[in-house]
Amino acid sequence: MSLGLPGHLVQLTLARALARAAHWFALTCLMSAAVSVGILSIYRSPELWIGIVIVVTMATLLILFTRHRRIAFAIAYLLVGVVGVYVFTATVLGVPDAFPSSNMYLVALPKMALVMVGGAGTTALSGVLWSTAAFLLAESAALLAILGTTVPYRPDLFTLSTYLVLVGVMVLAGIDRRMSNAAQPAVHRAVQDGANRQLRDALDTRAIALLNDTTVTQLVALSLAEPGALSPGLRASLNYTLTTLHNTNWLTDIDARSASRRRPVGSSETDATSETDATSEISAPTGTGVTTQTNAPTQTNAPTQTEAPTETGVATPTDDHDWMSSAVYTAVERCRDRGLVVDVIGDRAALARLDADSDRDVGLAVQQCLVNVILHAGTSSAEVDIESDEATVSVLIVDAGRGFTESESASDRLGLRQSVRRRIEQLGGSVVIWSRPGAGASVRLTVPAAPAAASVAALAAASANPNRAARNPRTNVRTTRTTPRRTR
Amino acid sequence: MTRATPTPRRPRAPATASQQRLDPIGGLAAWPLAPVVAVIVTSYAVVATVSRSHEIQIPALATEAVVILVIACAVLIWSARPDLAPFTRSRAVVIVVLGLIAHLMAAASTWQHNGLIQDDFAPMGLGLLILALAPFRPWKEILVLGVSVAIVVGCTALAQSPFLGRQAPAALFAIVAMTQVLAPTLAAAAYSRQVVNSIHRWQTDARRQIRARTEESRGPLAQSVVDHRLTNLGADVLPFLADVHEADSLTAADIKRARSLAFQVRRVLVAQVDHTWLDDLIDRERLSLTQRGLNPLCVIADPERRATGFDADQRAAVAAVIVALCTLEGFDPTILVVHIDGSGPAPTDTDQITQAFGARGARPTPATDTTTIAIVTAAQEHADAQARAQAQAFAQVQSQTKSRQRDDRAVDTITIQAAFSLSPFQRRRALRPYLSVLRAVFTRVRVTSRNPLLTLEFEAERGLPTHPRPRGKR
Repeated sequence: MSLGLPGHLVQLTLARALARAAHWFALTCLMSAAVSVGILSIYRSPELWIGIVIVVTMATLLILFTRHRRIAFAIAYLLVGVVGVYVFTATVLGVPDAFPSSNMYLVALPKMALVMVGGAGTTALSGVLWSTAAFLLAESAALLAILGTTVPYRPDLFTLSTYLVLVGVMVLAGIDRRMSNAAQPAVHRAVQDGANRQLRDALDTRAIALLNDTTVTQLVALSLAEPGALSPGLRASLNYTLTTLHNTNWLTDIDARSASRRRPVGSSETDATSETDATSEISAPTGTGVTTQTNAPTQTNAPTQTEAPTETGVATPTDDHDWMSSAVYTAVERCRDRGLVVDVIGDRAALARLDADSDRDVGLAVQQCLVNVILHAGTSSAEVDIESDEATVSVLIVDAGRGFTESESASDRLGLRQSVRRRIEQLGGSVVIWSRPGAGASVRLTVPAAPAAASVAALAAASANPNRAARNPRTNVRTTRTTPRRTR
Repeated sequence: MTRATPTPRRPRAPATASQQRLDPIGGLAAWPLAPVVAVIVTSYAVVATVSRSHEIQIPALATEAVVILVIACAVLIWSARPDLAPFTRSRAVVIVVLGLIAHLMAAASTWQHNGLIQDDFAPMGLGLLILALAPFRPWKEILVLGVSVAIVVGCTALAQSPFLGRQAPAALFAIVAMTQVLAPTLAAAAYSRQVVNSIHRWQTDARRQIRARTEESRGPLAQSVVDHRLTNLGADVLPFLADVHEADSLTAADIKRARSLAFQVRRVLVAQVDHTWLDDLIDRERLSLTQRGLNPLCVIADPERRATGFDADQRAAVAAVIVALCTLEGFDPTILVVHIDGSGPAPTDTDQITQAFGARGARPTPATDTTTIAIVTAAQEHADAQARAQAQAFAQVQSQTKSRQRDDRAVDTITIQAAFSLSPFQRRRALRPYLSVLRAVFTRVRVTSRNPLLTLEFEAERGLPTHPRPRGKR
């Protein structure tokens, strides 16, 4: 906590705090006086009840003043207090043979409480003036009262020292001794700079991840290709890279996406529009279209095509819309366009629980994982399994490819580090990777997600389709699997 | 999660907050209270002891009582010193316990011969000592200490009441003695509470404003990041890709070029990923020093990227200090060294990456592009993740229960060296507020000065490798 009070608030804050302190001091004195006089009136002279009344009246006025901070209450407190001090001193010292002299602590209590009125001043000067007035009035009233009794007069050092301490503290607080006038704004600026830098870092992380996803991946893909005409997959990805790089809105398109998401789920026309909105920013014009699942372009997509109708068949319209408007869907579609067979299983509707930021970043991370499969795994198929619980949504990307060896991976840590791990960790999630050479790889991305409202819809959707889980036995197998398995 | 629980408009200040902790620079102004109180308490004790010498039965005890009270005052002054901030709870307890011992000894020295309770110097002295804690300690603690002291003082008064010179109900003596402690205690607690709440309110508003201002700059910032990245990408990559796209075919030369460009771009990106906020900060200071016509030589040595483990307050404090050093009159631009090392694991990012990708020394390694995903054996990673989650939960519990186990903590030691052609006095004066801020967010802040070299050394304790917080909580 380094944001200290700025100069213009210091005086006011200190004055308020001193007022609080003074009022509590005064209240304690008054309470103590009331109890003492109460005890005395029980044991010694019953006529002392008048002292209790006076003290309680003073306390009431003080509380009123503290609560409402009106000058009228302060004046009333002062006047009633002066009369009170007179009566209190006269009655208490009037008790025969009780007190040897006038300078008793008990007698000083209401006077000390009265002096504390000065703490209410908003500036040091007014506070000192109030206190001084109260001190002089109280002492004069007490002197008058003492002269009327038989008790010898002795100067009351308690009230005097209380008055001096209070005035000293007020003066101390009133002098602006902050030679560090420049330091406070400097710290404030440093905090603001830190916040800006943090935002910039977050944007930069995303930018670097995107560049890695697009440029580096693309260059690597080109460097691994055979000379000659570009393959359709390579052409599509090149197209996507160029479109993305020319689109300078990389970092701000989230807003477009969340706006499209907020649109009501109505006619299929609306759905199509919002879907186009969501993908148009970054999707490559592949010609065959990326918005529908069934017309994937390459022949290797045959298994997907057979599975896709079953998947969409069981889903409710909401479910379907949620899934198709998610960035994971876009990522999967894009990789299908590049010839990868992707099976999607599990709780697809759960992706709707992610907010726009998470959705986008999870989508890009999934895409990077799938691109890795395309580039390095040496297999033509992968599986995307979506799981969810109360607070999180997990996406498991599994392939049965050649896996990794340490020496290979050490050469290229950026893809995983930046495009997958950093992205997910920036969302407060975690990434777990299981891989062994020759035994494929599994990557599990887990991110926090909104629990209640959104998942209610998902639950409703699930209960509307009780046979859904049974229809897809792999879902059950996979969700109960807690230990890594790579037997394939 | 975060959306489901609406945050109250005015979050309460943490229970451990004190004026000194929340507003270290403002707390500097409060410190003269301690010596003033110490002088009053000491002189009152001496005067009261001398003026009541006829009541004292055991002079040695009375003298020792005064001496112990003076020691308590000395501890108060020492504890309140800005360069020894923060004022810890144990210091407060030591002061109060010393005061209580003095009180008991003073009471014993006049045992059975005390004339009047109200003349005892110890209850009032104790009250004033507690009053002096107001700017330094949280109000609940002040209240607990004060009430405990009042109870002891009340009991002593009750014990003495049969032998007092006046005939009055015993409770009356107890009340008189207790009021001398309770009134300043309540005043101090009320002050502490009010000041802490005011500062906390201001901080909440200020933070909200900072967030708003940051959000406002999101658009331009995003644009500048994109521009910066595209510039960094170099003039070659985009035309190359466009050419390939246009030709719709690849030549062997293209493939070779693609490989070399891939290495280049990756090298740049990896270097950028390793950039921390501290590098940014020093870059900026270096730039502004250059603009002032100087030839700066600023060195950062943070091989493990420990700076990434700092929280926002710590970053702000370090940034403020470094900026202050650089703008200070007489600053020698050729000597500014920031060095971070420490014990325990470095922050998450690095340790995970080192785990996953091998030692840092190997980087950047332009080898064959085979795979992007790391190998970490299944059991290892899974166990790591679990251990992390457990340890994090454990750390939370730990921080709540305040018990410290060094083993679970990583300690980063930050050393900043700079040279000045200023007198030590001027230097101390100029840096005092910044040091007070450092002391509020770091532990063990040490300043060593060997003209013209100034060394600041301080430590940051991290619970455990920190994960960036979920967005909703920012």
